[in-house]
Amino acid sequence: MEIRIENLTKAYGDFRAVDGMNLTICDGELVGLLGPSGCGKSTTLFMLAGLTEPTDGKIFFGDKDVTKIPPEEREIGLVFQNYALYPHMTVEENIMFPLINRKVNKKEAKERAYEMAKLVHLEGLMDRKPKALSGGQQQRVAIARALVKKPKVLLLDEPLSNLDAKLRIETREEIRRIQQEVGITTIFVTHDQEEAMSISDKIAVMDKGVVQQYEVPQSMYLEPENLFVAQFLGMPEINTFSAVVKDGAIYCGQVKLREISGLSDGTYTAGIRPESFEVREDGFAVEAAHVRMTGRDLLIYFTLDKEPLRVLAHSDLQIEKGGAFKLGVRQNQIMLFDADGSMIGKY
Amino acid sequence: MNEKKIKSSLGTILKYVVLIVGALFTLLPFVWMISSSLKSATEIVRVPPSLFPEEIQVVNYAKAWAAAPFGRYLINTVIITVFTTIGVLITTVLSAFAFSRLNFPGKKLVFSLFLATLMIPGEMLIITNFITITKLKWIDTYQAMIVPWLSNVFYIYLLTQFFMQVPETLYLAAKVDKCSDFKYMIKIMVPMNKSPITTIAILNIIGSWNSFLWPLLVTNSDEMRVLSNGLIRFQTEAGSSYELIMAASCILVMPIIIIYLFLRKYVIEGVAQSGIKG
Amino acid sequence: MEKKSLKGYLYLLPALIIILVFTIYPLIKAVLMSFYEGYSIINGSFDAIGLGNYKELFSDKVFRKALTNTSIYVVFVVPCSILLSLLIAVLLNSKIRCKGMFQTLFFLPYVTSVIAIGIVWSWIFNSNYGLLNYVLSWFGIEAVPWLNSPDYALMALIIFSIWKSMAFDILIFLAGLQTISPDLYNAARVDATPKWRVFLKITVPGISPMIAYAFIMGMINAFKVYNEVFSLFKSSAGPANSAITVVYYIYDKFYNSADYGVASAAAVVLFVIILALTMIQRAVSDKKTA
Repeated sequence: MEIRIENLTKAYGDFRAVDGMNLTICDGELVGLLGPSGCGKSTTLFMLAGLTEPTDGKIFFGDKDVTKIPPEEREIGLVFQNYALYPHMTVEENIMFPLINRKVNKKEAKERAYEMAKLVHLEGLMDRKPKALSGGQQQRVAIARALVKKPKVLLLDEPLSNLDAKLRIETREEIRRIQQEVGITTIFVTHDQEEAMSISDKIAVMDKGVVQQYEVPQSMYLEPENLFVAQFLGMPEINTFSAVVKDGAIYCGQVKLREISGLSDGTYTAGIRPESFEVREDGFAVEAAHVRMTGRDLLIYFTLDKEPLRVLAHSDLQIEKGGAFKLGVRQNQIMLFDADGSMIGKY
Repeated sequence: MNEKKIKSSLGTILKYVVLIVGALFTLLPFVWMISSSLKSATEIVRVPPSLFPEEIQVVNYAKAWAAAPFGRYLINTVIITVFTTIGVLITTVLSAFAFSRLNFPGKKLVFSLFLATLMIPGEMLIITNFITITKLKWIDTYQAMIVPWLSNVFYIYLLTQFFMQVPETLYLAAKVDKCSDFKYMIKIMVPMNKSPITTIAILNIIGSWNSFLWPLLVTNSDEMRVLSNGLIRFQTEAGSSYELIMAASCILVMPIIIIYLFLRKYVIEGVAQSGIKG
Repeated sequence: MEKKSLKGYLYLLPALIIILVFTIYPLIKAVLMSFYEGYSIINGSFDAIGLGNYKELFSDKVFRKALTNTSIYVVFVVPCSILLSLLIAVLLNSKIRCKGMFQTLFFLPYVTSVIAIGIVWSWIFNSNYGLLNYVLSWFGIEAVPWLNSPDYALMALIIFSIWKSMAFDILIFLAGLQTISPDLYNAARVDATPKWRVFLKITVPGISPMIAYAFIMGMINAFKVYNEVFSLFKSSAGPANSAITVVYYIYDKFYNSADYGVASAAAVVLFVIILALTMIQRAVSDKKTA
């Protein structure tokens, strides 16, 4: 089922939680809505579910305008952040609940519940109450309950945020597997970029109620359309500083970073990802202000003509606080943004 | 060190002494009631009184039971208690659900109005309510003793608090699952809040069972009297047959004590709520 | 989130009807009736509107006696019950065996029919064969006519009431004590604080909202005492009305004397007093939580 969002707006008084949003999600895709808290991603999800009424705009499921259709008739499955399992019912009863409400006869409901349990690997836990399950298992019950009525769209609100780090990686793979197996159009909300990038077909990054960019994860990371996306994606965060272009070169303060052509002189915002620096003999000389060992990498803090910057180097580099070394920037890795924050190009 | 040890064990002994004396003071009337109810007519007026009966006279209970229509009183009390409690549970669940989950114009105002009625002493309402019941020609009927007590604002307040603690997402999930409001209330809210609902049921059972003034006002005939009214009447009629009066008192007190002993957790929690939320 | 609709009122309707008919309407009606002079409940007619009922009420010696009795009652019952209950609650909250059993036991009076247990107390107070006078005789005290003499009737009522009200006070004090964080006690122990200081500086402030609550509730209940009187004094207000209370007065005026106007005036006075006490209680508890 293709989903089309047109000019979707939700206003609370003067505050616009979602502001003129447009988005098309292709059939069978897994899309992550990513953004900081308060960016409007959950509001969007709840409008897709029909639990929040939009102030303006339309939502289409396929060719059908569902904007005014109540949640129970939208053919959606919804998984809540806290799973919202009914604590007094067993796993089986929880999964059967949506079917019983739809007057499916008991025998068939039970069969379908067990089918779902098999899909999410919950066989053998059907008689337990939610309290007796781990967080990951509860999550899978919630997914099974959402899918059992064979919805056309699956919506997940921060599905992994209540799990611990290890379980989170396991569960997100599980979500991807289930989604692929069922082939259902799925939208999930998250504030965790790694989570979004690792399983999504496409990511929509949101800020201030507006979709900043809608792209496949890799292109989004490599080709951010604007400064917000560039800054939001990437850990550690991208280095940004104000750069000057003159005489056919980019300067950071007095240090010449790269010779270029075809760009008018002036001041720009430059962005260089910490991993885009490389240690090399013909580079500019800097001094390590701090060195942080993270395991796989070394994060080295330094200043380039008073501009505080960070570089991510391989952990086998031998350097200590105060040590001098030389750096260059890898080809095509200096991003320049104009005054509005739009990307001009990579140099 | 040694001195400290003695001091602390003396403290422990003192602690238990105070508690036991307090407990005896609390228990005394109960013990005295049971003991007196089993004494013979001569033993009960003997000076000095004996703590325990020389010869246990269970027959006192049969005598008391026969001396006044206690069977009838008991049936009346049970009928009133059962119907009032069922009714209160229905109105309380419905109202608490409306206040905690539904959105309707004037909700805050109505809720404040409900809470404000908590400040009205029920005792001041008996005059008008008595007139109302008289005008409805309900004097000497069960409904006179049941209907005015079918709603209790404190219980509504208590249950609303519990209903509000149920996460909103459960409601939204149920909505997506095509569950109507009424079905959600019956299938999710009520089973999830069994414990406070049980508390309310028990507090109401105790209250109805022990009620005295209102049933006294709205009944005239012996057939409609409840146990507490019957007992007061019996107190005057039985004169100095204290062994029979004590036996009759036991009949009134014991059912509630048994319920309380089995379900004390709910009773104690319910009453403690009133203090903490005050 | 959800749209407003009138459906909520459908759910509220049963409770709302009962409250309107049996709480709100009688409240308004009682206030009105208290101003009607010569009111007839048969056809609802009255001679005049005025303060006649109130004048009569306050010049009635019996009503003044009821107010005086309530004051004496408050002065004795409330502090005694609170102090004794506090002692027992603190002991119950310390490390002791059979805590649950003690707690169950101390709460017993709260659930018991006041009528039945009042009759038991009247037997205990019996001047000839009563247990109390027998115990007093050990100390050489002659038989006290507890229930038959106006001098002792109120005291009997007070003893019974302390016994009765301790159950509630102990329960809420214990609930309050359990809300005090054990960290505070541990910190005090680390600082080698003496026990009496711990009690005054941690325990008492910790449950002061409960004490205030118990105090006000005790006062409110004092004005509502009725069943106790009825059962102790065999359906009377004690010898020569010596143990009359406000609610007993209201009951007697409208039920026995059919004097609806004066009864309503007394009910309104009761309402105003209780309203004032409730306001004070709210203000105190708001200040504590703020």
